[in-house]
Amino acid sequence: MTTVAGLTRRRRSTAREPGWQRAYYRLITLGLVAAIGVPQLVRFSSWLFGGAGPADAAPGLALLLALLSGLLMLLAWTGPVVSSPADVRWLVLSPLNRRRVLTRGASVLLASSIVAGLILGSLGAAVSGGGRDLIAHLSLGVSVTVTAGAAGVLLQAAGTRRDWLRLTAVLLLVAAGALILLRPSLPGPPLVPAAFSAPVVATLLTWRAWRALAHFPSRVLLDASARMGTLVASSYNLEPAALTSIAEERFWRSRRLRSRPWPVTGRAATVLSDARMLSRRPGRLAVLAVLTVLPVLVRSAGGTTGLAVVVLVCGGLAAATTAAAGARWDAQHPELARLFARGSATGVVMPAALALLWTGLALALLVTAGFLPAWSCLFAPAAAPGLAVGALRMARRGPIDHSIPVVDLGMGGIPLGPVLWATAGVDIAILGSVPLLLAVTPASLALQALLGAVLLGVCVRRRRVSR
Amino acid sequence: MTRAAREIRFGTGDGRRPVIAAEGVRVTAGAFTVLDRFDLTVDQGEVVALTGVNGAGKSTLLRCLAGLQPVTEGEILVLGAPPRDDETFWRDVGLTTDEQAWYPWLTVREHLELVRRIHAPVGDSCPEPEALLETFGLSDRADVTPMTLSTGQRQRLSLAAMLARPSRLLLLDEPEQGLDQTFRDSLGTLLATYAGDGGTLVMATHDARLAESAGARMVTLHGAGRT
Repeated sequence: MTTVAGLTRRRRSTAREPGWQRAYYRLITLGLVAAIGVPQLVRFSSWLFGGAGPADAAPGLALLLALLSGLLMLLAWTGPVVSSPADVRWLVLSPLNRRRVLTRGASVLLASSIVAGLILGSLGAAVSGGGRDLIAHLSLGVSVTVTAGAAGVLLQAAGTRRDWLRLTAVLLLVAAGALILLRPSLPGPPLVPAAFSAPVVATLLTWRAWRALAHFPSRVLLDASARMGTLVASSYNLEPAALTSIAEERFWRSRRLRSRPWPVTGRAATVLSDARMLSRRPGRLAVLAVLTVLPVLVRSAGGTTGLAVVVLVCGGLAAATTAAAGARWDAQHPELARLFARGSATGVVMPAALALLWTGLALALLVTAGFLPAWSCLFAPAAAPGLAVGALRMARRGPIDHSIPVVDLGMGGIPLGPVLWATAGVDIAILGSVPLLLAVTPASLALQALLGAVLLGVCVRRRRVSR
Repeated sequence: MTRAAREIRFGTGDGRRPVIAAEGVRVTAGAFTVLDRFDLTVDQGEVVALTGVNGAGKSTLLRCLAGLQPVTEGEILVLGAPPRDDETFWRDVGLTTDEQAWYPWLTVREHLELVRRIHAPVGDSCPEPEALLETFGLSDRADVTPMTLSTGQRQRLSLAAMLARPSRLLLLDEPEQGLDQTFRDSLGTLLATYAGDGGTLVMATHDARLAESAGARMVTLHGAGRT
């Protein structure tokens, strides 16, 4: 009888090493990564949250809950059990043992959950006071993420994963918000009992998930694998921006729109087009508004001011990117820019406005919490142009150039095309925010304002319509 | 549909200089010559239909006239200057190709209104969006995103958007694509009216009836640009 193992062996018959050797190498690599990586991670987390003490327990816990919420959203989006499109087409829809077919995907999920748990655990140790009870924190972190992964598999098998995982994620975010607002004095957590009991729960759920793999419905696998297949194809073969366009098209197709008049003419009309897009996605604006608490949350959890500023810049860039959909659409469809005779100058207005609003709110919260002086709010208008220009560069970066040669480092090659694509725009945003990232002083504010004005000037002078 | 005479802003089309002047144009793609020693002159108010078999170079010529493809040899002047891909050029020139795109977050009516608003002042020279929706049979789809339109409806919207804005030159690549025969006849009349009001039009087409109803001068390309 044909088995999955037999098929896999035949398919991989061209591999240089036998199977046991590959498994050995993987184990050794994982062991080395754990041995070297975890202490470094803990040291890094302790450095980031060096100022954390018992009084910072609530913000720290809120930050961890927010991270866990993000992880659950990711699980809901990915599957979490996926197979390659080829495996789904040829192995899932065949009379082979379903669990064996899915072992590979499930193993990847388990390994990812463990890595995420190690990160969460080390961050937990750091925010609860300088890395005490490290083993217990790591055990708890890994247990929580593995439990989440296993629950995701069980919910996926039941066909209801998205609703429940998203609901849990939202509840975690609400709990995080409540922790920030109420700032309760948390009692010392029963860490050791939790560190012992949580792995039991995780193991039980993992065992149930493993058993559920045997009867995993094909339909949910096809859905998840098609989505991941599109993601992988977009990343490696086409362009990741195509994925964004597909998602946006799907979103707008399902929306019922209502025509509204245009009160302005000329270039202001194109700005209004971007504003109309934003106003028709209130959910995005709400999420952005909620995220303005992140810098103050990081700082409250014992993070350094430098870390809070990094989060501020990242958030500002994310806000600007949200408003750059018009520019991205124009870059992908130059015929639109020709029809509307739309230059570059107008495209920067809404990204800059949203970046200004977001960074302004986040800085105001930092000032209100007493972490920064009042005049530091002026960094918002000074940094917003650089962030907006970075977001526009990201929106117009086009497809990945796979013709750029791969740099061979001996231990493996680094494909420069994807690397350059990934850094396009981010580099401008970082360079454009260097004064803010270096220091929050009056001198750096002046330098930041000058840099922002220069970047804005260069962007506005660009006249070419097409990409 | 009535259109007032257009305001001439750059002094072209004044009877002394043609709207399009292409001389000795040669375009190559690798070892293949797409157009060779091609000449074309188009005056203001004229409709020119480029015809020929697939691969004869009709679309390539339109792309050259729009400044989207450089010529290997020769010279092209559009509205008195070499075509250039910038905001000023596209204020005077409209181009439709088979690559159509729309903002998914705007409705059909909002697109037509946006085109007018951006190209303001429009005056009485261009039809109102409501009139265009009626003429192009899109009234009942005016409040949906263009993403939900059929191929033919999108082509209608694309052409309606061209006529919603003031322009001095329209370059249309197979405007008949996806349109039913009844509407093709109406389109010919619309294009003839556009030219009658002072606009200039060059289109690549396989539909001789459309060219005839638009009152077009036929220019047949025979591959490698021989006319």
